[in-house]
Formats: sequence, structure tokens, C-alpha cells
Amino acid sequence: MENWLIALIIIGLYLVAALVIGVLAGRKREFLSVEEFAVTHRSMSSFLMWVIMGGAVFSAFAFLGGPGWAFSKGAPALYILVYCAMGLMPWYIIGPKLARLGAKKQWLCMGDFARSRYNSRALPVILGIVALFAFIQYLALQIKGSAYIFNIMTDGHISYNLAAILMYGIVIIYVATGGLRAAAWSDVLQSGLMIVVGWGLGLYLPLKLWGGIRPMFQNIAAAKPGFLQIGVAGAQMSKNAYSTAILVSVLGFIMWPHLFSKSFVTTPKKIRQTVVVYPLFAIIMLPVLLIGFAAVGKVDPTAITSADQILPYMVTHVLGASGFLLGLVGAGALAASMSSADAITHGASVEFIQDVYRTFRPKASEKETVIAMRLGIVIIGLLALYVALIGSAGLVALLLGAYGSIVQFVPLVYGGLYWKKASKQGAIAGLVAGVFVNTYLQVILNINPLDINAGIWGLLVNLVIFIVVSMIFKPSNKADVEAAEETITA
Amino acid sequence: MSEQAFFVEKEDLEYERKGSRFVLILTVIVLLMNTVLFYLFANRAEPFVMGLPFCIFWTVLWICIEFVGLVVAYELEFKRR
Repeated sequence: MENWLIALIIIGLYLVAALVIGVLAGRKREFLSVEEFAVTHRSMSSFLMWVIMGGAVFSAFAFLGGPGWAFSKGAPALYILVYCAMGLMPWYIIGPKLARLGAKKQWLCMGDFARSRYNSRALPVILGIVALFAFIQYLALQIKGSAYIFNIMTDGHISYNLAAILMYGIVIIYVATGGLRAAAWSDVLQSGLMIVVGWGLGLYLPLKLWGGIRPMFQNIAAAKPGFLQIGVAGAQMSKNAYSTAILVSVLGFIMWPHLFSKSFVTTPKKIRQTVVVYPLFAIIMLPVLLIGFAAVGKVDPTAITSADQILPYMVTHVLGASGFLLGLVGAGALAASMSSADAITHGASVEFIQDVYRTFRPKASEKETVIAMRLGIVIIGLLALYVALIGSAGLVALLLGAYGSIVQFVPLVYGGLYWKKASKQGAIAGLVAGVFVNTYLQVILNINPLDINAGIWGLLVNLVIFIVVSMIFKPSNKADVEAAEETITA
Repeated sequence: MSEQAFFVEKEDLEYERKGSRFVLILTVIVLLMNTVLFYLFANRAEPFVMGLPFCIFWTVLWICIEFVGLVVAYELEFKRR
């Protein structure tokens, strides 16, 4: 049998398994319960929590971008390990409080928190719209990454567009039918597959190409001085850029609404358990970076059009003889994308329906809400496919701006949880200013002044405006003051 | 899910706050070790430890220390309860 056909069969088997597991997970659950669909009745086990949070970070960015960074940038790729390891630490602090408040006040998502704490109808709408744009961008990245791999591993027999529709269509089906539970159970299969493929390749390639990990790095250190360092001559990233990229990630990770809202799917104790075991995911990531390091000096950078292609390039050129391996790697890469895409699609729909749809239709029944959320999955899914496959320059710029702006939720979240005087006027003014500064620097000017991440500049402006405006417009009426106190004392 | 899992006594809340403070300090330490102090101590390829360049070893080491720190924070909090 031809290699591409074997690869296609293996990828096909994986896709069928993901679909079956996802759809089965959602069966025999109440179809019309919002609590079930959105937050699994706040009863998710620690194991599933770990897998779904892990699946979210172990994305196409990690699987393709990780080796890509190691190959093209060297030591700065360590950023990915640090961000993986530290991203959830702030959740240890705010998660239990949010879980208690969420259970008491039936919150489902980040917008519910904002509406309730700030007693504001406008804030969740702004938040929901920024989040929607950011989510679509995030999804488009996942779709592009995996469609590319699918296409390469089947030697072009499955076209890029068909690959995207097949892979993401399956995600849409199981998330729309089974909700969060389906996303979590399919992540079990996907995480397992990613780990096997990541470790297999990461340990095998250095051995085969260099005779071991140590000789590989010794060779790199000798051939490319500065490549295994940051901010020195020959290094690929400055110290400011590296430090602030880490800072933005650590602050911003849990600000992604689909992760923030996981505060409402389980108990305070299980949130803490999830954070405790999370750094192990970073250790699991290490061999994935080795794939990229193994290519340094062996692959001419001009042989690939972008650094993200280094993993598929290595697989097809070094392991090329085996259809079985091509299929396995293809399935592993698809698993990485799909385990992020399912949680994001789910989070995007819940967030948008709760924040925007329900603000304009406050009397929507539970039945109407849950149907809107399921339909939302399909509509958001189609939008993301449109952006990934067709797109347009203007649209992409808008989405990119939103994607970089997620960290701008930091002041309103921490201020809301710990500062009595934080007011809706402050939160809205700060958020709008932060998103504007970030988007202007990142998308329109495309610069990072002083090599400091655009997100940090936005955050500084945001924070100052948030504080000053909150001091001027304090929560004054009784309802605002009570809402603030209830959140802070919980 | 029983309401019990979300309900806390005042005393438990105090332990939870102590746990949060512990993790806040740990976060700052690990952040410094991976940025400012990384440039000071670990921004080099030599010496190799366990086959890894020193910069990678240092990063992995602090991830392991972070993990141990989180386990300690968790154990302290829930043992007292």
C-alpha cells in the first residue's frame, strides 16, 4: 500500500475515534440544561480538568510553533516552557474565589462575572465582542496549522481546504452535541496521542541525526555562538522582549475567557489540584522543542517557507519511508489543534451568548439559551473556517488586534476581585484604552517600543486609566456598592 | 454536585488566603528566576547538565522547583483543614 494511503487511514481512524468519544461523552445528559452544556454542573473531576486545561495550552502553536521557535530562534523557545509552566499560577489565587462566587450566583463565563461585579450591561458586551474576535483568530490559527499537516502527511491527496473542513467539522459536531463534557473526553485521547508523538519524535530525532541530545547541543553551541542565549550578540531575541513576552503570558493566560470560565466547572479544591500538577505539562513539552533543535545545522532555513513547517519537514524528510509514522504524526498534530479548538469553540459560544445575546434578550428561557449556544458553536465554527480558508487583510488585522488584547482584561478582573473602589466606568475606560493602545502598536505600527511587548504598553495605559477613572467615578449607588462588596468578601 | 464542596468555614478561608499568599510569592520568585536572574546566572550554553545546555537545564530546574512549591502549598493548606 502507498505511504500516503496508510497515513490517511491512520489519521482517519483517529478522527473517527475523536468523534465517537466526543459524541458518546455527551449522550444521556440533559440536552436542554445550560448548566450541563456550559459548565458540566460544576462537577468536573480533577483528571478531566487537568486534561482540558493541558489540551488548551498544548495547541498547534506548541506543536508546530515550539519546534519552529527552537529551530529559528534557539534559546528564546524556552519562553514556551515557562509560559506553559507558569500560566496557571495566578489561577491558584483567584480560581477558588471565583468558583465559590460562581456557584452562588450561577455564573457560567467571564462576562457573568463582569456584569455581576460591576453591575454593568455594557461591560460584558464589550468584553464579549473582544473575546469573540480573539477566539476566531485563535481558531483560525489552529485550523491553518492542522490543515497544513494533514495535507503534507497525505502527500497532497487531501487538499488543504478539505483537510480543514474534515478536521474542524468533527470538532463542531461533537462540541455542539456534547458541550464541555465532549470536549474534555476527546481531549483525553488527544493528549495521550500528542504525548506519544511529541516524545517519540523529540527523543528519536536527536539520536538519529546527532547521536544524542548532548552532541546535538554541543554542535549548535560551537556552530552558532549566541544561539543558545538571550540578548547577546548572535542571539535571536532581546532580554526585554523575552521577559515581557513571559510576563504577558503569565498575566494573560487565565484571562482567556474559555480558561477563566473553567473556574465555574468544578470545586475550589479541584481547581487548586489542577494548578499543582500543571507544570508537568511544561516538562512534557521539552522533547517537542528538541525536534526543532535537531534540525539546526541539518536543515537549510531557506528549504522551508516558515519556521512552523520544520516539524512536518523533518517528518517527511527524515522519517519519510514509513506511512505508519506519517499517519501517527499527522494524527498527533491534529490532536494538538483539535484539543485546543474544541475548548475554544465551546468557550466562544458560551461567552458570546451569555454576554451579548442575553444582554439584548434578558428574558430568554433556558431552552432558548442552550439552543442558541449549540447553534453558536456551528456559526462561530463556520466563521473561523471562513477566516482560515478565505480571510481578508482588514479582517485579519482586526482579529490580530483582539488576539493580542486578551491581557487587557487583567485590571478589571483583579481590580474587581480585590479593590472596592473599582468601578464600571474605570473598567470600561481602561479596557477600551488598553485594547486601542495594544492594537495600534501591534497591528497598525507593528512595533514594540523599547522591545517591550505591546501588551505591556497597553496594560500600563489601561491600569492608569482604570485607577484614575475609578477614583473619580467610585461605585456610588447602593446596588454598585453591594455588588462590589459581595465579590470582594467572598 | 453537593453544595458542601463550595461552602467554607471562616477558618478554612484563612488557610486558603495563606495558600494564595504562598503561591503569589512562589510566582514572583519563579518569574524572576526565568527572567532577570536567568540573564545573570543561566544565560549560557556551558556547562552541560544531563546533556542539556545550562540555560535549558536552569529553566527545567525552576519548573520542577515550582511544581514542588505548589505541592507544598497544597499540602499545607489541606492538611490543616
